[in-house]
Amino acid sequence: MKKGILAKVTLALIFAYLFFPIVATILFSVATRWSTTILPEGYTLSYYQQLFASSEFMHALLRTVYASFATIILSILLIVPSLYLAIVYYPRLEKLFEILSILPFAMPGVILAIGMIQMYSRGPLRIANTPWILIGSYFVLILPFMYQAIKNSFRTINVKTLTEAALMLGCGKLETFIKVIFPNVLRGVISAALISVSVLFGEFVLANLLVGDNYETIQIYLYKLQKVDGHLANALVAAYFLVILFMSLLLIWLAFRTRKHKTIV
Amino acid sequence: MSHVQILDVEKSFQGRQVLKRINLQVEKGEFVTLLGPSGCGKTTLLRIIAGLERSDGGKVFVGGKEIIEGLKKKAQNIGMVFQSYALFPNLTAYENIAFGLKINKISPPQIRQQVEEIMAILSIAGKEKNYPHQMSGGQQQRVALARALVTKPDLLLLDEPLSAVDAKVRESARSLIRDIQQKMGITTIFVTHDQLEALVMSDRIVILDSGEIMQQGKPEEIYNKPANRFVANFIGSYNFLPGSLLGLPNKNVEVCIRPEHIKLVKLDSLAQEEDASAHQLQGTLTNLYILGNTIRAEVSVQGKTLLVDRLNGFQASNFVLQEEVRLLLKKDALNTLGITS
Amino acid sequence: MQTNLSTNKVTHWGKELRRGGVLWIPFIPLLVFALAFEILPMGYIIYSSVHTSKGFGLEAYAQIINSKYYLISLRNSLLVSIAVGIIGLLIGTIGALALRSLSDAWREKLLTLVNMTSNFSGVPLAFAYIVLLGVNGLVTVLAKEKLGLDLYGAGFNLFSWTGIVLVYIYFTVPLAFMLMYPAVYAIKQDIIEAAQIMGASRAYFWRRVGLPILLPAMLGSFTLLFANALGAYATAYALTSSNNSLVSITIANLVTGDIFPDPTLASALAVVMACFLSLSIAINARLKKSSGGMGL
Ligand SMILES: Nc1ncnc2c1ncn2[C@@H]1O[C@H](COP(=O)(O)OP(=O)(O)OP(=O)(O)O)[C@@H](O)[C@H]1O
Ligand SMILES: [Mg+2]
Repeated sequence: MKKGILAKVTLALIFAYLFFPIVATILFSVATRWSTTILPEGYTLSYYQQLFASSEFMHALLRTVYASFATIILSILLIVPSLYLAIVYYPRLEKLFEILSILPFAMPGVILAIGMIQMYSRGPLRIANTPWILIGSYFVLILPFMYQAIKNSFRTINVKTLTEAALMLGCGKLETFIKVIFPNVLRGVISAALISVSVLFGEFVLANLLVGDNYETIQIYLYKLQKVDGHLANALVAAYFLVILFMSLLLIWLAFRTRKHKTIV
Repeated sequence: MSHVQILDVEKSFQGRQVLKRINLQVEKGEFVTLLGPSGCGKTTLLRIIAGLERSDGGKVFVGGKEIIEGLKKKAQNIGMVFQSYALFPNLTAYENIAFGLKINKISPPQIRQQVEEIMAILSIAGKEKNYPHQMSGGQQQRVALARALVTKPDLLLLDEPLSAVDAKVRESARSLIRDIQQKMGITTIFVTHDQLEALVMSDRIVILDSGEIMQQGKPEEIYNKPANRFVANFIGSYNFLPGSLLGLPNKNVEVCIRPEHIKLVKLDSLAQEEDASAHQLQGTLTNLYILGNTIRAEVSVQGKTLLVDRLNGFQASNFVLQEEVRLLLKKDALNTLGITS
Repeated sequence: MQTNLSTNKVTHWGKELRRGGVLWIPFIPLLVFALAFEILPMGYIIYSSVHTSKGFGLEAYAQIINSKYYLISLRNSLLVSIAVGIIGLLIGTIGALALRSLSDAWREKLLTLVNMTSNFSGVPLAFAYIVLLGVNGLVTVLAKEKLGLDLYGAGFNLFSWTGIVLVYIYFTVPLAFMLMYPAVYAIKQDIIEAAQIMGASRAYFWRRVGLPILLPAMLGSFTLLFANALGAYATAYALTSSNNSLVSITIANLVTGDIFPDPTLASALAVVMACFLSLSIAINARLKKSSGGMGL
């Protein structure tokens, strides 16, 4: 078929466009010398060794991990119970979630950051330049993703009927939530968390404007490293992308498991 | 020459044969139904006739012209109604119906007149400006039908057009399609897996199983004289018996009989009912229940359960469960299906 | 009878549930966080934009309108976002359309790959492009050595507008792909075949049916791509840190910059930008409503 071939060529071009920078970055990160040849002249893992041996890198990584995980756990604790209650007991409050999750679209990182800097640089709550302000802003940043993913998992298990059934069987309200509802949405919550991790690991704006050097995250470290040592920075970009790749595979695997699970039931 | 000729058509998907050397002729103005279980290849065959699918072997002719997949369909003038209706969601009912006429470069006043005419016939006049999502399932189905009919096709192909509407609408749509088909005299190939639909609507029924034609014939032929066990099973609750049970000369033969052709009588009524035109069997009445206007009895004869239908009003109260009863099987209603292995 | 009884019981329980008692308590911490980090900062920007050293007034907005510099940065941002939105949308739509020719299994695999590349943005992306297309980038050097093509000599510069647009398109394409895929997928094979049977050519089908179905989704997707590009900061910052000609960078520099900090002006610019973003989000929501969820 002529049309099929045209479509495949188009797809191949688009994918080449999308993957060329990624593949080149990864190749460059293991290249000894690569300037005037099509492929690197030799291969080495020394940049990764240097990178992982650097304590600065390790600290930046750990800071990002702390801030991200703190934010994600906080978000789960804040969103899951109240969204559940909104769906089951207070349907009108669902609107509130919708508004809260659409607002970040109108205030991207830059706007959010300058609002927060001005608010928290003075007054009673001086948390500018501390990790706390970063966690607060990260909470807003991932709110839309968290809300969507968690809402979808509540929807797929038909949470209202499930609750009513559990209550009818004599389960307490808290017990219903902990023993019946939460295990059923755990998978959805985990995938929401994974999406958030990849968003937060790639986050630069808020960190740069809100905390900067006071809490150097991995992206800020990368930004600085790029000016000092191109090859090391490149290894970091490649490593970052490999982590993202791993995370996407994890997400696919989760989604796949859910689907298999569903067909069995 | 027949209007539609299907000659040795074969088709495989991923090495699995879906159609096995199908041969079928459809006469001008005939209403032929392809009937068979899900996955037997009905849609595939219809799509090959429409030129939407390439066959691996064989030829299809419509009105003497060969159908070739991928070729421009303008000259063919085939109308088709899809199971999903396949209405264009961005066009109104009127625009949907006029779509084919516009392509054929009919003049606007003529388009208007023809669309309005067919909409009136199908009683969807007044829905001109509605988009598909603003219409009920039954109305959408009529629009799809109108779209297929408005170009006055030589051949109408219908792929389970009635499967997505409720029972009431389906019943009225059956007679509507049949009426229009006869009035316009359009050669029609209709696909369904509903045997009642096939029996009610068709001039001829073609029964397919796993890509093979099992039997074809008039509805009453198919109903009363199934050619094999598959057809008998598919067309409805036939009783199957080994020849030995009836003491037939050929003990290895299998026979079948419809439940309404068996008579259920008291054991002691034997004397009066002695009749050479029927086989007699003795069994235990195990169950009795109402099926609308008939009553169905289940009788166990030497470990085999036979179904017996009587019109409602028959004196069921004369019988008690577990009673020994006698069955009379009309000899001329017995179908011999062939030798069992 | 049996089922009737149990459904009655369920609706009865449903009513009981409505009276939730103290179950609203978990909403308090959520609301506190949302107020503190989402709603109040937004409000504070609006407040700050009209709160000048001389009291309340719209001086900051007047300053924007009267200053060539700020208007140009605003115009640059809008132009870049529109251009990037349109080009990204076209590539994404064509890609999503081409995806239709593949089997289901392949389609899903490629979609996840696309989804993965959508994470590649910001500083890492800018850096990857510098490695490839910078003054001494791999592609730049290779093109010169092997093809005799001097990119920079021919006017290309990664650290200028061409570079910014190029890199922005890169992170827009995967998003456009993902946004357009559901709409493209809604054009099922059956309506194509229905048109084909009636004798329509492919071109006629796409003109009369295919494109009109896609158009609302394309417009809806465009608004999101536009908003995404307008709000972007990290990519441009990493590419051209000193170049202030995009509004997001101008805003940040006005607050954190050591040279002329002016929070009032920054807030006013942020409000203007938020208005453009809100407008595009509102258009998107409107389209989504009228097309029954196709706009996303
Ligand atoms: N495009 C395809 N690729 C692979 N297999 C196919 C394809 N189309 C049909 N088949 C297979 O061919 C067989 C016949 O399919 P077909 O659609 O003709 O069945 P059908 O009789 O119309 O069934 P139904 O009543 O369920 O519509 C099925 O087993 C189906 O799985
Ligand atoms: Mg079918």
